[in-house]
Amino acid sequence: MNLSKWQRWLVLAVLAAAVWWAPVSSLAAAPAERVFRIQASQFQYLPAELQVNPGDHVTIELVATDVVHGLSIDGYNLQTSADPGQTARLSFTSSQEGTFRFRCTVTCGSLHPFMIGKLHVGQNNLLWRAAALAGLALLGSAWLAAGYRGKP
Amino acid sequence: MNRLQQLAQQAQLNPVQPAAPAHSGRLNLYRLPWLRPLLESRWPQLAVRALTLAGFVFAIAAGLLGSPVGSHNFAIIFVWIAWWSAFKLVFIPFGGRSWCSICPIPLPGDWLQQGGILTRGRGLGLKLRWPRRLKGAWLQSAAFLLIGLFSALTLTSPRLSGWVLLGLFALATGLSLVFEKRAFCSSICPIGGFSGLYAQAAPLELRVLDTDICAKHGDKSCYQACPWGLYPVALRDSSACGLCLECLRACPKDNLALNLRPFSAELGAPRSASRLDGAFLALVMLGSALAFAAVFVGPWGWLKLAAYRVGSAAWWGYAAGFLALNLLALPGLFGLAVWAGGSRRLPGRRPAFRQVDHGLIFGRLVAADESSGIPAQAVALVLIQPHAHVIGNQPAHDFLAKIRARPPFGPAALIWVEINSAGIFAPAIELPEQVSFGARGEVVENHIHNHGDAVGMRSPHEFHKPL
Repeated sequence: MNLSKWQRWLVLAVLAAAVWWAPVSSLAAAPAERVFRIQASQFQYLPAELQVNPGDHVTIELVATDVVHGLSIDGYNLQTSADPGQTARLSFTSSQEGTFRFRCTVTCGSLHPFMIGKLHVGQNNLLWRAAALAGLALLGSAWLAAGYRGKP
Repeated sequence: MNRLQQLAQQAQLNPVQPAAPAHSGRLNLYRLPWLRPLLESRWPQLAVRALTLAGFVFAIAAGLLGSPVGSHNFAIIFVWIAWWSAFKLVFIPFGGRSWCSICPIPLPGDWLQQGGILTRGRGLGLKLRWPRRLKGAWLQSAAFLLIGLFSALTLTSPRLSGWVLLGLFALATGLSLVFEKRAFCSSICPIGGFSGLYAQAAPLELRVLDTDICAKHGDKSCYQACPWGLYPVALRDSSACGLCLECLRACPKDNLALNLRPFSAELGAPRSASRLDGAFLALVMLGSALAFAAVFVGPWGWLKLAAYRVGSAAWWGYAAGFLALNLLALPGLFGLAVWAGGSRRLPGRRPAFRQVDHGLIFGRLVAADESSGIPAQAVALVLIQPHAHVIGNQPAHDFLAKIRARPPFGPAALIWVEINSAGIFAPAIELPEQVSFGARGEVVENHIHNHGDAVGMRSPHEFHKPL
């Protein structure tokens, strides 16, 4: 199929739009009560990755094992902190889908800015859409290059 | 009246008019009447460099004498967060090696070498030639790996940061007193190698307008003026040019252009350079980006501590893994892919292997996105709340929480990566001819192929001799 330059660009644009805006059906489970007990020490959370479903009611029990540590979750605008040996609780409903970092809110040492964990709520569609777009960019460039090979 | 006389007459009649045909598909910024005086005069550039020099000296002082808490120290915040973010997100994508044109590190060495700040005097130094076997990006790759090994400590310790900056300063100045031109910038500076690679994708280039004029010009003023020791006619890509613009100022024929061009115009172009050292540097940067992303934004505390506790058994394990990833795993994987792609010859002899730098610019951008997120947010924080503790206090976290709640940085970073990746379309588009080499184009190309490129030629006159 011989497509002109502009037709190829149009096809790629349509594909890109489809990748970015295509609706994704999520096989969401019924909302459940989820409780996580996280041990915070310099400079890590254990467990560092939490997986929940959209709509779950999540409770995080933060236990600081050495110095004062905190926890805030990107995108959820909530935080807490725990003194050494103490437990702090944080409850919320996982209303936003995606992957969100949570991080320490109290300066706890040199690597404090990098004390990070991840909360996965359902599927991380943004990541997969971006990956698909990057793949489309690669394939598209090869397709366009093939179309212009040999032309003056 | 020959062509040179015609050009000279034309230039005298109207110096703003092009003396030679412009490159098609490019906008020559040096021809813009409102911009030309700013580029032509050394004062604006000197003023900016004086500011960066002051900031650099202050960062060294703050690192060595200031607060030992990294998140409260100017050296950490404004070098490793503010400057590094601006460098990756603004200078490199839009200007290639534009940072080199205002970098303060080689400034004192330049002044000593040329015996003046704006004018040239006798100068100091031995002006030895940089050893041939040390040319290329190999030392830059080694410097990048060395810094990478200690990155967790350097990025968080103001004292060590201060010593590192002071060491770079002393090394650059010392080398300029021993070797000619900018030996440190061309062959050692890890940042220069890093930005040189990406300069091939940036929308800015410096090129000669008509090589015939250069061939007939006896003085080669551009080569004499270039602090990097480059001959602009021989520039095949933008990886070595520091955009100092001294050649534009020195050329009596007005035969140089500072072009605005499409993004990624050099990637995949048959005339761009293909060097094994550049390919290796690209692999080192990719490996480093993967390692840094795992250490700094990954959830593994044991890995952070291993990278931080220099000298411990865990750190030796981290160092071994870091070096194995960069020196063995990635080059090995890529060599294997090249071999599997159809060649039975050694990967190092394959042009395809050497072109890895072009392909990996994209891959590195994707990897860099992950590690750019935190600095970008911290920079916004510093700018808006200069008295905040940056990371760690309540207002700071409220601010960050508001940012992330929307969140503008995540999608913005993704879009930015997509824009950059879209740049790889550029070579596929029917772009205008990259650089017009004129009637002697083939001769120039063959000469480059057989006698090397623009870097470190002994005599530019030899460049124009027929083969």
